[in-house]
Formats: sequence, C-alpha cells, structure tokens
Amino acid sequence: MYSFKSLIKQLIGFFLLLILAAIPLVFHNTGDPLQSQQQITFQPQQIVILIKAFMAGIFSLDAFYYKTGSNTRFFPADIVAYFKSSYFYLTSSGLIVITISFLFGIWLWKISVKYLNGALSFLGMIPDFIFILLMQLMVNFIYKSTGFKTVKVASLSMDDPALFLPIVTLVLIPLIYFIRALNEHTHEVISEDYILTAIGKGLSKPRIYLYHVTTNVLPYLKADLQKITGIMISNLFVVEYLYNTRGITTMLFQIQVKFGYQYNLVVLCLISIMLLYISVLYTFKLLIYIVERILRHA
Amino acid sequence: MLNKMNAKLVLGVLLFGSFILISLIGPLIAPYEVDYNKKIGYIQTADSQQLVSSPFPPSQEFILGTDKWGYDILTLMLHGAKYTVLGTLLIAIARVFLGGIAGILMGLYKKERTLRKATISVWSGIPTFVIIYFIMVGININSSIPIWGLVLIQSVLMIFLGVSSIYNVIFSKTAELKKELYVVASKTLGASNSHLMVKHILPALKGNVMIILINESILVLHLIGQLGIFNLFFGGTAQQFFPTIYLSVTHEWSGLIGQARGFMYHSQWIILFPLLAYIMFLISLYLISSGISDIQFKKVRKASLL
Repeated sequence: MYSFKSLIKQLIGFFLLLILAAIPLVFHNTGDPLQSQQQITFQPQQIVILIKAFMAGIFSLDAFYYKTGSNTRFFPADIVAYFKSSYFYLTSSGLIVITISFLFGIWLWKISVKYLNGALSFLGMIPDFIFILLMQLMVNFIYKSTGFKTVKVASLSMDDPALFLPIVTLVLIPLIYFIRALNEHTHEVISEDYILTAIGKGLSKPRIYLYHVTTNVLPYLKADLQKITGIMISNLFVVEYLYNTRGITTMLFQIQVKFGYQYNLVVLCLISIMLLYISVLYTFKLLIYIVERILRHA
Repeated sequence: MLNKMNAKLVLGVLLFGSFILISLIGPLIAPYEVDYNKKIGYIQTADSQQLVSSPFPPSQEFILGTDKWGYDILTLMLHGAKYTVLGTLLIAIARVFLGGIAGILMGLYKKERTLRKATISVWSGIPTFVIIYFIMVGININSSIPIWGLVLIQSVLMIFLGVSSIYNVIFSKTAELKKELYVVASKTLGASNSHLMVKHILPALKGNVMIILINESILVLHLIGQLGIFNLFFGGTAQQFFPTIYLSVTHEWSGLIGQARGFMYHSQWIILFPLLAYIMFLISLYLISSGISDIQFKKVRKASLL
C-alpha cells in the first residue's frame, strides 16, 4: 500500500514538473522583442499541447533531440559529459566538506566553538553569489596590484575549466552548516553518561573521540545528508553560471538563452538534475557507510 | 552599561533602522534625478583637459561614481533601496505571519503528528529560485505589467514557496510546548485552546519568532539576489539588444549587482558599491539575530566531560 501511495506521489510530482517547464510558454511576452513594452499573453492550452507532444516524443524518440541553432543534437549523448562535470564538482567538494567537518565539527570542536563559530555564523548567511563575486573581485585585485596570477576566476573553454574557486564556493556553505550543526551535536554527546563511563574506564582521549563521540554523532550527519545535497545543488546552479563551468545547470539555462526555449530539453535537464541529486546523495551515503564500517571493525 | 551581546543587538537595530530610513526617504535625499545621466565629461590632467566618457570613477561630483551609461550609482541605490529593504521585510513578515498562525493552530488542534520522512522525488534537487525563475521568466522581461504588479507576483510566489518551512518549525515547537507540564496543568484545569495560545504558546514562541523573522529576511534577500544573477530583477527587467544587456527597472540592489556583473575587471566601483550595501544590510540582520539569540539561548548547558 505504501509503495502504491508513493508511486502516485511521484507521478504527481513528475506531472507538476512537466507543468512547471511549460509555464514560460504559457505566460509570455509576445510582439517585437525590440520594442520596450510587450504584451503578456496567457495560453493555458499550451500545457496540454506540450505535454502531449513530449509524451509522444518519448516513444518516437523525438523528445530526445534538441536544437542548437541549425544543428539537431541527441540529448543522451551530450548530457553524459555535462553530468560527469557536475558530478565531479559536487562529489569532490562533498568529500572535502565531510572530511573537514569531521575534523572541526567533531574532533576539534572545542577550538572551533572558541574561535570559529562567531565567524562561521556570519559567513553562513552570505549568499553564494556574493562569495563568488567577492572572490572574483579579490583575485582580480591581487592580479592587478601584484601582477600575480593566483587562480582562474572563470572557465574560458571546456578543456581548461576553473577548478579552485568553484570548489571553494561549493565547499564553503555546506561546510559552515555542517561544522555548526556537528559542534552542537558533539557538545550534546560529550555530556552524556557513557562518555563519563569511558573516561572512568581510563580510555584515552583520541580513542573516546574516535569510537564513542564520532560513532554517536554520525547519525546526525546522515540525517542531514539530504538537506546538504539539496543546498549543494542549489549552489551548483549559481556556481556553474558565474564561473562558466559546463554542467547540467548551464545546459538548462545557456541553450535556451542562446537558441530559444525548448520544452523537451528543459524537462530532460530537470530530470537529469534529479538523477544528479540521487547519485550525489548515494555517493555521500556510501562514503559515510565506509567510515562507519572502518570504525566498527578497526 | 552595554555588555557584549546587547551591543550587537543595539548596533544591529541602529544599522537596520538607518536602512529603513534610507529606503523611506531615499529618493528625496538622492543627489540627482533618477534619470539624470552624464555620458561625457572633462577631467583635469597635469597640462590640459581631457575628454572622457562614462563610467566615471567616484569623485566629488559622483560620490560613488557612475555606471557605464552615466547614471549616478548613489542615486540609483537610493531609489532602489525601498524594494530591497522594505520588499524583503514585508515578504518575510508575510511568510512568518501566515506560516506561524497555521503552525500554532494546527499544533494546538491536531492530535498527533506523523512525521513524514523526506522522500526523494523529481523535485528534490530543484531549488526554490528555479521554480520562481520558470514562472517569472516569460513575464518579467520587458513586461507590460507595471512595476508594482511584477513586485506583487514575485512576492506572492516567494511567500507561497517559503511558508511551509515556517509552518513546520512552528508546528513542532507548538506540539513540543503542548507537552510541557505547565501547559498540561493548565489544560487539566479547563483552559481552552485559545487561552493556551494567548497565555502559554505565544509568549513562549515570541523570541523564536523574532529569530525566524530575521532568518527569513535573509533567505528572501538570497532569493531575490539569486534571481537577479539570472537577470530576473525584482520589479522587472529591461532587456536591450545589440548588445544584449539586462537592466533593473527598479534599481533594486541585487538587480544593480546582477546588471553590473560584467564590470568585474574594470570600473569595479559599479559592482562594488551595491555589493557593499547588500552586505551591510545582511550584517545588520545578522547582528540583530545573533543579539537576540544570545539573550534567548543563554540557557545553562551541561558541562562537557572531555
């Protein structure tokens, strides 16, 4: 019964997604784009037309082709590279986030509470795009004043992508969130009685941290994984756009800006984003699982 | 005497108050008319006068400089302030009000809450601003809808999409409070739900609600900013062709930031000053929130054992 209910829910979700992707063609400006004021038209029948055509296109495979100007391209062949790039950025920064948050959230929590937390709670509320712009301005300022090329501020071509700044940006916000949350949980765990027992038994501090504190904080980390993946994907939109790195979200935005709105492309991109979410989430879960296994058997 | 945390709150409120003031009287104290622009001018060099064209760097004439088209940045910012400051605040208040009322009422009347586990769906990876983007993209650019209409549409979307998270927080807080002994005692003595709400739930939630309100303002500010990065400016986008540029109709701050993204490598003042204003506004919100939470959560923690 449960699975049937959730299946229905998923279908409704998917259907709503189909509608959302159609909205730019339902409400839109018509008339000469060079005129400053245009008429807004409302064409709800577009939703039905578009979804019908898309469904038919799935079976005839037409839905998997999109246009870049005069070229027609096969979506599944192209998306792989974009997907890999987005996946690479997300998982590598996720790896860094998890490692550092273990370090500062759990093992060095006292130091981070003392010195980091005030700064972190402020940094945590600065939006990602402000970070990006400030970092780009700073790198540029360093270059101008010293002539020293530090890091790339944006990708100029696909073969030579900017790596450092995008990953720093993707790491920053989830890291701040994690360190603060884990600090809080570590504090709670450390005041529990079983820690006192462990101290009473004469276990060493590193041992207690590794086997008692870490294993008991891990569940909180696991519970937050979905949220953190969501935040990271949301940042990915801005990061890929502002650093001009190629990825799924650039595919979603750039091609429509250049070559006009294509319904099937948008839907396929949104579905790819879901696949990205799932694969990143499970990569993180696997990672935590491995850490748990090691701790349990070491 | 000001101790450390009250200083934060006082400073935050003062800063925030001045932003409110600026947003109310901004257009009146602006040095130029909003459509005043200076395309070319002279600068004095060592031996002669030289003809230069906009953008002009910050000077006595233009304190924060002008943008590429010769408009005074300070004037634009003063005119746009009301959309950034008041818009953000009103949206956040509406979110907290609607979500809060619904959360308290449902928390009081509903028996037990079955905690839904977050499931993965097609929507999991799609952030809020993308949803608003798709709805607004067809109508926000060179729109025939007046500014207030576009502001209203976007505000309603932002309220609608943000209300559920507040509802969840307030709901679980109310449900928690309902289990407190003093509430149970009051209930056994025959208190009605409305009495509980006024006497117990609302006073207990007061501090929380203030913090939630500030955090929501920050979130709304993020949202407006993210949309601005994708050229959907709060209150309308003016698109011009050859070359294609996007301009903020309202001169709202994140719009000014968004439209100035190209000036990262030269004439940086065009992007720097709106950016600074935006960050200062965030700082004022941060100071208030952390000031309140310092007072609120000075609860006694259990001492750590390690």
